[in-house]
Amino acid sequence: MKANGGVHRLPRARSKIQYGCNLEQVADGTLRSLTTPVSRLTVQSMLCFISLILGFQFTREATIFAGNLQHGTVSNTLSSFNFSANIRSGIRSNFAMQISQTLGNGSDVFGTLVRSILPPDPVVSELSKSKKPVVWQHEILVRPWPHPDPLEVMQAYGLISRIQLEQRQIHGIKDWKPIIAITPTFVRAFQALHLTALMHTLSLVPGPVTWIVIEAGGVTNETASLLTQAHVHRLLHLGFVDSITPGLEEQPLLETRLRIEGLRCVQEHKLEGIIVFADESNVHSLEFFNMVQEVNWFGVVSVGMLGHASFGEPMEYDIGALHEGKNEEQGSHQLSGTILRFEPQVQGPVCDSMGKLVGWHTFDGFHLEDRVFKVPDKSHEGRLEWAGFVLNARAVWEAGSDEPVWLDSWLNWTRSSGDKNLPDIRSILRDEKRVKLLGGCGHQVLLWWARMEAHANISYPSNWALDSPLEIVIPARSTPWTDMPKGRPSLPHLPTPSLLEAVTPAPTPSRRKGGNRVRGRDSKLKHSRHRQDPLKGKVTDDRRNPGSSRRS
Amino acid sequence: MVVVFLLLLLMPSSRSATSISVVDRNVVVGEMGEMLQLRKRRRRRRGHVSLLTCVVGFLFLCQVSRLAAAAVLHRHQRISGSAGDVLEDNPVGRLKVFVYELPSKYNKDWLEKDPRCLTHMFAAEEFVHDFLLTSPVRTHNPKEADWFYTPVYTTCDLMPNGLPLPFKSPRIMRSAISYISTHWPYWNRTEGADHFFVVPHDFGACFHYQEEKAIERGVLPLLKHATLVQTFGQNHHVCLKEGSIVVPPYAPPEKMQSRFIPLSTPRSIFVYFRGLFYDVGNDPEGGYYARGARAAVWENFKDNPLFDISTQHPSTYYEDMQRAIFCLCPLGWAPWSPRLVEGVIFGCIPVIIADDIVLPFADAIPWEKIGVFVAEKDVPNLDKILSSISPEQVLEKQRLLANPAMKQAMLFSQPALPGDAFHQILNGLARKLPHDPHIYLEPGQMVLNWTEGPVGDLKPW
Repeated sequence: MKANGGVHRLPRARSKIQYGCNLEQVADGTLRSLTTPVSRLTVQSMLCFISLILGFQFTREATIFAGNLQHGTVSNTLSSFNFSANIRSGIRSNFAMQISQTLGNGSDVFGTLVRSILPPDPVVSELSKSKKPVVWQHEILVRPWPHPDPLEVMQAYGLISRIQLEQRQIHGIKDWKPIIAITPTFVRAFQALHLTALMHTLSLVPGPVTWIVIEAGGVTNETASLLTQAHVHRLLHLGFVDSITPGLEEQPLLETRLRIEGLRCVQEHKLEGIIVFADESNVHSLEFFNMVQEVNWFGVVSVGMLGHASFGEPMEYDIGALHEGKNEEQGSHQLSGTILRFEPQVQGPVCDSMGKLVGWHTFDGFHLEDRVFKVPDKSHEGRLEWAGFVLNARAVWEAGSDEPVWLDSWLNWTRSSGDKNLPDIRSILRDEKRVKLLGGCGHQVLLWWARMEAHANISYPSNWALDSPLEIVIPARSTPWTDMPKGRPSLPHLPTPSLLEAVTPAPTPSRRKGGNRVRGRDSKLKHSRHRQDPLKGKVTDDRRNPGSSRRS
Repeated sequence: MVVVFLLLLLMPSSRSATSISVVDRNVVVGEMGEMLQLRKRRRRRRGHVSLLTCVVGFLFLCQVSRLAAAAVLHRHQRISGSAGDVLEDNPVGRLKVFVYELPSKYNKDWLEKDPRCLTHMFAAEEFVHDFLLTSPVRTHNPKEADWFYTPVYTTCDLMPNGLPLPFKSPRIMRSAISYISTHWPYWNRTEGADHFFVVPHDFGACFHYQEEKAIERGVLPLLKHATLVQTFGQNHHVCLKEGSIVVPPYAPPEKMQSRFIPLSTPRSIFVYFRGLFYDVGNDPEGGYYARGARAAVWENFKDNPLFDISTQHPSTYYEDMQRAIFCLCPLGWAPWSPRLVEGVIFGCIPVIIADDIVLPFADAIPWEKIGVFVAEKDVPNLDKILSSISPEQVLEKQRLLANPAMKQAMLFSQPALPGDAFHQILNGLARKLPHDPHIYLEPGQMVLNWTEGPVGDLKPW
């Protein structure tokens, strides 16, 4: 349709004449080539017939339009004008089809003419009767710059945030209790990794968070510099006297000491909220903080213990024993052998069908030291992670209740540094039946324990800031092309690049004091230019050779 | 509130009457002259003062009660339609419907042949039949019936791919009408003016899926006087008869209600749409399908981060709708779509892009307050339009959508619940009562031409 260009943009009357002219020209063109008068006559009569049909269609449409103008109301005429305009466009497309087809295949001219008699009468007469729409091809409206406008996008995001705020107000948790997170830490290689992750998690909690960080070996600048980026409501950075002893076996012991110190801090400041033992290596889902809002006094959650699968010993189960109940029908089939199953990697409460607490599922942990699996002592058996316990801060300091008896005994234990037996967290639960089972009695695991630690003697840059340059293991590639001097757009005399010249080692950096700052392209180019001059200006250019094997 | 107003009104009169009732006051005034005149003056002054206090107090109480109501009901708002709070009207007792007993070849046989008729979006005709059979509005006595229902399933002739073929539907309908006109006298009594039919197909009783052909055919001539319950609704269109009841397309309620996500999940998608933009099979050139509107949406907004639009149908379609603020409901080959129902159920504000569309139950549901209407020529500016709606308006619309009456009205729930789509249909029928006495024809008077229509329709079925 669009190929027949300017003809269709012209108004109807003129286009008819144009058509006529075109056809005449075409006819002339063909006539010149034709020699016999008979063929000339047939072509002429054919073209005359075509113009007759087209003229008949146009006049019919014009009379209908005129009829509408007489009988109809203004809106009627306007709508019918629209329709007639659209029929015009429809007929235009019809014409285009016709013309292309007639010029294309001359043999099927009559067939196309017959087809072009459409649209049929009933639809047109329907039109003339009343203002009913007719199906026609519409234009697909695309605006000139169909891309997002940044201001509108900002407005839309403002709308979204307002709606989400309303949602939170209506459906979210009301009366958000503040979270008190107690985190033991000490300076080591993995501290930055763990602490940064925990910091981001706590910054995202949609409510006030008091973060108590207890550091072994006193408050250090390193930890303080890490904690400056924390966006929490209140940050308490405490120091504990004892420092970590190398050897990760004692780590849980020290951490417990630090946690109890944190509890003492809560008691001292009489903080309000829900105490969560957020170990720095734990990963918390934000849903976890929503879940702990339900705690009245004590709550227990399930903790996913990761890092044990493939370290632990799988249990062997006898298949015959497993399928005992199922194989009653199939008496003859006796399955034998053993299958290996790993225990579910979860530590948490176990309930009976009534929803009451009946016991705990715990996972005996292995931990990695010097890439050697160490089986823990029996004393650690049954040790539950403190992270799975959540308590109300008032339980620690509220006068009148005799709950803090356990806290005093724990504080005594911390002061005596000889005792290796960890206090059982469960001792705070006088009546284990009273505890609140969060997450559907531990069915939802929103907290993961994945202990990843390095050897105590591992070295890492202090404050993770490099003060001396690192050793080069992989040398950088030099820039293979030279800077063109300004004013010379092209150098046609450049020879074709050769592959061997590409592998030039980078100039070794000078050992200067104050670090090896990158001096820009000039220094390298000076080197490269000097280098390339003796090679008679042979230049390798990776960009011009995209198919070179070096690039694979 | 009204009670308070009345009380305040009565107060001045009680004060000035001094324990004399209203009737007696007039008598007393007639009897005792000047003393009462004095008292009258004082009464008038007191009356003025008390009237003023009454008005002030009334306004104050109005405000207080409105605020209180708003605080209590801030979650959702009552929907007051143009005819009042009609969504919660109970049709039982307001009308009686007689259900004709047609031979099973008109209804049950179709179902047995293809049970898919109960799950596709035209399943309303089957479910309305089931509902009426057990509804309290049903009467077995046709003499006392206000409306007569003919259970004929014209949209149950399915192709292998599940789409209904409408080619036999006119003949089936004619055959059903000739059956009821010969076996019962009620059709001939009014030539169908107190009968209603459920024709949920693409273009209603025009019985064709192509708009051109449907317009050509027009509404079946025999149904000229009957009330049609259909999903198609477009102003100034042949296939929407005056007085038709527009209903939503059928959407399986259990399937949708089992996929709710917690309401606290934040709505983070701005505009959501899943469906075709170009129908390459039927409209290869483009410009016919959806009058080019869907293609315009794609071309203008395919790289806009606010618009989550695609042709891929994800398994989390219902969940995604609940995380979206606006859901596009553009026209397709016909202006209606099940997306409107899904948007209402999931609380996503429908953005309706269909010129002249008549939405379901338009006389009961104030759609302008609930949805956003965009003209097809304004589609290129859709992002500007939607981002410039104020947050208060959006929240207002969401509150209206959260109204359970609204959601209920869009569903054909099984079993039928008060306020659902079945009851809205009955409400619509009840609103058309009482019948105009002119519909009752003289015996022997014929209005319908039984031989009108295309020749192919006249063949018996």
